[in-house]
Amino acid sequence: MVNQVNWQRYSIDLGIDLGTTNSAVAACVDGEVETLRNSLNNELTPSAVRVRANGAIDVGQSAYQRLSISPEEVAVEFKRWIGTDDTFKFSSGREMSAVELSAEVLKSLLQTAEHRLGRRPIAAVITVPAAFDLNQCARTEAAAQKAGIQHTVLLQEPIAASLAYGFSADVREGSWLVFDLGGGTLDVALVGVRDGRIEVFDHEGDNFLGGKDVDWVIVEKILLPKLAEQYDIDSWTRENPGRAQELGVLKHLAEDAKIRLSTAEEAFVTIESGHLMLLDDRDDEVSADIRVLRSELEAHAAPWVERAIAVTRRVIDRNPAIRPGSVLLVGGPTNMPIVRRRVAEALGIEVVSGTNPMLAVAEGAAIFAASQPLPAELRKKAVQAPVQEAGTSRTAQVIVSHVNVTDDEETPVGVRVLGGNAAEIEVAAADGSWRSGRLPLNPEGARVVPVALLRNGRNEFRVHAYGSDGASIPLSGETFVVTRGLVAAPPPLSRSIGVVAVDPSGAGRHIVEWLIPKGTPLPARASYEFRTTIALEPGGDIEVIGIYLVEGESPRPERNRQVGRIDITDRDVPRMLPAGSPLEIRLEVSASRLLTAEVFLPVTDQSFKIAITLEAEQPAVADLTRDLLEAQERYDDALPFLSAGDAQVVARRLEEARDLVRSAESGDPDAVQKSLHLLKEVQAKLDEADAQSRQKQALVEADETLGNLRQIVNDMGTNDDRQRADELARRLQQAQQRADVDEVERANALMERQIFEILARHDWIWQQWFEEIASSDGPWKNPMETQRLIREGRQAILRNDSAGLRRATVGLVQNRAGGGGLPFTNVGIRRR
Amino acid sequence: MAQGDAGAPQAVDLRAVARAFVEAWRLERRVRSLEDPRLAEGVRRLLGEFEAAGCRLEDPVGTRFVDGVTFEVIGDVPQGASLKVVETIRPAVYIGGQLQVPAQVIIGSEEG
Repeated sequence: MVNQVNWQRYSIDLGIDLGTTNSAVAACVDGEVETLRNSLNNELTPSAVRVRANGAIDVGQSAYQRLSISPEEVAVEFKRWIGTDDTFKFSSGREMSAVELSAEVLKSLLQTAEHRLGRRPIAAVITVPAAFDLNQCARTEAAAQKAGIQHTVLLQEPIAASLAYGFSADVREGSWLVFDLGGGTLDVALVGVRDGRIEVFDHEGDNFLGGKDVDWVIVEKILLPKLAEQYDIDSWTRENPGRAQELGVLKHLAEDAKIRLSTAEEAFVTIESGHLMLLDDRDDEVSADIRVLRSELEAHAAPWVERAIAVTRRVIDRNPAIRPGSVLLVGGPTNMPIVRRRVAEALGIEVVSGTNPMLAVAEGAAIFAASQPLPAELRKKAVQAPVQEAGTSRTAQVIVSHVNVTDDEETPVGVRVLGGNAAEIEVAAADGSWRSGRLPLNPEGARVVPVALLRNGRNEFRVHAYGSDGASIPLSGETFVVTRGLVAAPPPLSRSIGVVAVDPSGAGRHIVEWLIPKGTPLPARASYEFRTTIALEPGGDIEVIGIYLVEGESPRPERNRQVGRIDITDRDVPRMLPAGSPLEIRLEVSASRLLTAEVFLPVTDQSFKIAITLEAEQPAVADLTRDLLEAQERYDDALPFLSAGDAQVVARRLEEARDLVRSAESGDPDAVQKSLHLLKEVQAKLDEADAQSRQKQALVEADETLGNLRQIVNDMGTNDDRQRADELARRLQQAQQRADVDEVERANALMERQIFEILARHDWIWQQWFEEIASSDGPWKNPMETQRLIREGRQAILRNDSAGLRRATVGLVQNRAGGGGLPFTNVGIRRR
Repeated sequence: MAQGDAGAPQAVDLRAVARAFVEAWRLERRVRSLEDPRLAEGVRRLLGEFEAAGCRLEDPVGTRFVDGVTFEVIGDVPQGASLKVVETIRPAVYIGGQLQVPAQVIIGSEEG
């Protein structure tokens, strides 16, 4: 007998919307979603942290209110830089990272939850923008851990909002767009319900587009110009760190005005000295009452709204087969009339805000949380029951009419069996987890069977029928599905993950071998076998196999973000690892998009963890300037290959990037990240154009190589060479007919190799190669080694030692520093 | 290779595969207490191979105990309306979405 069962919770308690500007926490209590109010009785807690002079920490409203008085004591908007190593330095001297600041906000939300629910939460679902990369997700999880949350599940914000929408509006089918415009980020997701299951079909986001940008528009385009009419405020710019406090005050006031302008046609902004004296460049105290019209704000904010609409349109255009029936607006800035109006006009789709746009994400997170089991180690061992063998429980039952979707755990199913003289039926779960048992049919051959829905989501059943003699009767149409609850489909991977490898075509280039493609449902696991391209020998010269993991979509390694790397050297292996040895790369991405990876060498039975790069790229400003120039040049070259629309987009982005790089040059850290982001976008567009120009170039090059090959075969080739050359010519021709550029390049590389092989049979060509390389300027990996090889080569020529000459020449080629500082050096793997 | 019936493919005994998966699961629990990362890694890989082959473990702790559900119940089933699985002795194994080995569980009632 089991007594004293100490009931534990089996699902996650909380859903948390950790926002750029505001955060909220919600819980599922007795099947109802409830947003939990903080000690000030507010549903929203500002994501603001204040550190007082004495070191005391305030979070939320009180911290936020302090922003206009003493901005040097208050950190806000840290979600925008959670991927970076930046810190906020408080006037007290304390420095905190975005992870630490986020942890403070989470602690405050947990306190709210503890107070309202009567227990300390140990697990939570925390939402992140769909556009967050792996590193930002990892940092969010780290913040949760710091706040004392033992088990965190990250959920994409649009999915959370959709769950809230589906939950409250009782939507059962169709598809819609989630337009989630937060303080700092935009997430657009194409979402639909199929069989009661919410799925994200596609999504796109911009980590650097949010309501905060409108605040700055108000400051820079309205408030500062008006103040400049009265005061000398040339030094009041975002780029000037000495005026950060004044600008902080103005931005705070601008945000307030923006909110008021959502319902009013005009708002007054009162600028006056508080705790901080506002002084202009002549030390005059600044004070003004500025009238801001909604029409004025809308005129300045229009380009920003159009940028958000362009992101939305891209998602729609990519999915012509799906016609979203409505746009669900989520996030505070969608309260702005211009956003609602322009989204409806531009997309021609009905705008819906069936849920509270500020709370939808937290509520959806709570709904999701209720469906997430707690891991076993967090459930207390409740029962110490005597264990003894006992009989197996058995049971069974049947079907015809039923509801498709229900929130109940049991549903009545009407079953009627026509013909076949059936006397009994049984309904069983298709996976074998449940049976109704055999039940007699009424004289009409019908029966209602209560069917248990054991799983959230899809429950598939099969009906079995038996005659009065107990014999099974074959049925048709005997399977059916009942979906329990609305459940989120697994979140998809937002960017593809791949590894940099040597191009198998032999062209010596580096390519990306994709391991887990974008859109793969998470959690995902992948294991791929590669071959090493060089040998590792213990005690040998330092040889290195470099393995680089990247995330992104570009076929060019350097256009993607490096997320992990490991170097395996000859010091790491206990015995000889020949070139061509198998090398397995294993990756795992959790549902929260946390990446773990390892390399396994079967020859030596060794595993190596791949270090995951948590730091976002923090480029030097000089690099940005260089990248900008390069992008500008590439744009000029690519112009003939760009469509008019793309050309316009790229030109506009370049314009924005130029402004941002200027701000970055003046020390604005936000601008560094933003311009990096914009430049990547520009590069990706240009890559598409490049692919087209590359096609033309590849065709010309291959024709030239074929001409050379034919010449050389005629001059010094054998019959076998001629046959091989003909084969390659045919291969090239077929590839050209199919316009298969990759294959053209492969054929080209093979022809080049054949030319090399034919030439390499002759000593005179080695002497020629040797002289060419020896007289070149390198650059050399090891100049001493170069001197030695040149000496050896010269002696070999004098001695007519052809083997020695070849050794020296090959040595020189290998000693040449390839590529001069390419980001991916020593790549030592290729696809099997 | 002196196989008698060389032409006929041998059917795979899925239950035997499922039992092997359960043994790997037990092994993983034992290895956990040894705190040997290399050994733990190997066992984790073993479990991963089962999963890659379409095998799935299901630990039913916390699920409702309703009439008709396929468990092997250890001990008595207490009286009471709301019954739940309070401890798993052996997880259920599904292969290709089909139950091959039912879970062995202890059932408790919410009221205690």
